Amino acid sequence: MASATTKSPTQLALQRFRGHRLALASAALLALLVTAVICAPLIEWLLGHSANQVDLYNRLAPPSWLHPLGTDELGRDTLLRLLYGGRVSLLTGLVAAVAAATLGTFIGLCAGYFSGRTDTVLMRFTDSVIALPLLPLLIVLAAIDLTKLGLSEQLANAESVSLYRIIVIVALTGWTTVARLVRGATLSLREREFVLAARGLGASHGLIMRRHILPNLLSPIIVAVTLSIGSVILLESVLSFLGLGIQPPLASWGNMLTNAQQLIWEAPQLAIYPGLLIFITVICCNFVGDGLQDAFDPKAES
Amino acid sequence: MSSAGDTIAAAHQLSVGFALPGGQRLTAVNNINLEIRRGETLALVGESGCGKSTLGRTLALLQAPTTGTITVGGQSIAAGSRLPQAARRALYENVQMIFQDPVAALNPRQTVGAIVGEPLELFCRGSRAERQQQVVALLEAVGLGHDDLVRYPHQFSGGQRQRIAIARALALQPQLIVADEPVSALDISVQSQILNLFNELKQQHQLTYLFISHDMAVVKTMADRVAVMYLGEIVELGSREQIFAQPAHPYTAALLASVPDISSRKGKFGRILSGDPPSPAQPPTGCAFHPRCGYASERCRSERPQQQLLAGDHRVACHHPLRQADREQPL
Repeated sequence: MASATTKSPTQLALQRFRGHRLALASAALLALLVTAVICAPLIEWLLGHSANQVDLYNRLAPPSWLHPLGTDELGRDTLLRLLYGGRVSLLTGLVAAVAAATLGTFIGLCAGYFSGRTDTVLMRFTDSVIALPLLPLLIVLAAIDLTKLGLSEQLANAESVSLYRIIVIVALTGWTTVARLVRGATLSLREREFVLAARGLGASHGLIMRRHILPNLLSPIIVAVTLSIGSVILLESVLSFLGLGIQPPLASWGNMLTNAQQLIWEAPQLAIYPGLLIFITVICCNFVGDGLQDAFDPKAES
Repeated sequence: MSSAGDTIAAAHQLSVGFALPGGQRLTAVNNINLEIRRGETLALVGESGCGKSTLGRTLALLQAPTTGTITVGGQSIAAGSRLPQAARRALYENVQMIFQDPVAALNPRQTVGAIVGEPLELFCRGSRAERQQQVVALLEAVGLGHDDLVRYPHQFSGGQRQRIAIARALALQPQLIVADEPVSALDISVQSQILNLFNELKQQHQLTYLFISHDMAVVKTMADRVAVMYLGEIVELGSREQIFAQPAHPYTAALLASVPDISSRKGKFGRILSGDPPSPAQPPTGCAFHPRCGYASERCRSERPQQQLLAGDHRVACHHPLRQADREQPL
């Protein structure tokens, strides 16, 4: 049974993931998107004009060498705006999903491990967060005047503050799924005999959680994060569409869609490009998530 | 085989209960007195749900007792009391547990070296390099090798995993090892290898085992003394010879009769048990065994039998302990 080479469970899972064609292709496509987005300044330099440069004499121009995807209603280059918008959207998706998962893992781990009263309090709190009507809450949160929270005028009106705001909002409302997932898995793990063996050695709660429970939760958490990146990007586009998300002139795929709605008949491409990118990103995240789920599934062993 | 030595672990008037949803209480272990002597293998037998695992876990400090006291290696802890850190560590150091399911007993994300080295690390035994050497020595003692240090549990068979779990339990050189059905999840051929390993290690390291099992054949090869549990109580306790040749409790006789045997009819007494044990949440009045007992009388239904001493240190809790004549004439 023991083979000559040694492979950790993670390495085994990656090996299985590589056999999953659709997920692999999706991961490659996502990697391509991320690379393109990271290289945005380089492309900007190659094209010789900036993303927010307005050119009113050249509005809604068709694709050309100078503007590979044409220009928008203010004569800004669509490709560059898509790339910079992608930076914002992907960053929001990743950071917010990871932040929400971290918070959810912490709360779920405490609830599941300590059980009893801690569990009851934390899970009723989780239930009440789930029961909050999300959209009205987001609208209120997005309307908070940050200067009244003690932030300086300059900071509160900075261009990127809407970005941080949306990350915080998503993290504060999106952790519940992971918390429930982690709690359930922790409840079953804490009764496993290797955890009992560690308790029989007098190991502290912190050590047991860190060394014996958390590593075994990693695969469901990674799957949940991957799947939620897609939904966070969707949520960002919804909020931006309502005018509550990323504020122009900072571009995001969501607010590009919003701008495009007035010109949907004259210049449908302005809606199609960001819409398509959101669609591709979300569906790729879902495929990768599915692939990871299969790869981490212990029943898929061998 | 050791004769009566000093006591290494003991339970005194020990009860363990669990609260059930709906306000009921389940008493898994009911007022048990038990002494484990240095160097012996004490087998704890009984049907599923009789509380033998709970008793084992309580002695291994994994389950808090409701009432009573447990003593391991000279250190006592009473129910509801908290010991200072140093005393607690001494208790943990003195008793280790081996579990039934070798798959669940090892963390799938730790290497074998980390698993076996963890006790040494937690008790700060030596430097990293010294610990590594000790781990290799432990692995060699259970029939594994240096190459296995960096492997993960999924690369081993059930028997090998149980060897790893045994190495982990041995790491701190505990006085008592509680083995909870350590071979019942293994193939029959692997079972005998692991049982031999238990006996070898016992002689090399002067170990004491509390060996929990429901397999009377395994108990017969392993035990010095046998304690029979029924519904949270010890109904009979005696040496292996006494239990197997002269069972005094009808339940013990029935357990022995349930062992399949095609070679001979000799040495079979009592009758095969029918039905399931009653729920420990609602124990019967009087003797807990009376609804299933062929010898039950009116007294058994109303009065709870006390432990009485038969020959030597053979103890039984029964109003009508079996005599030689009963054993020769099966019902």
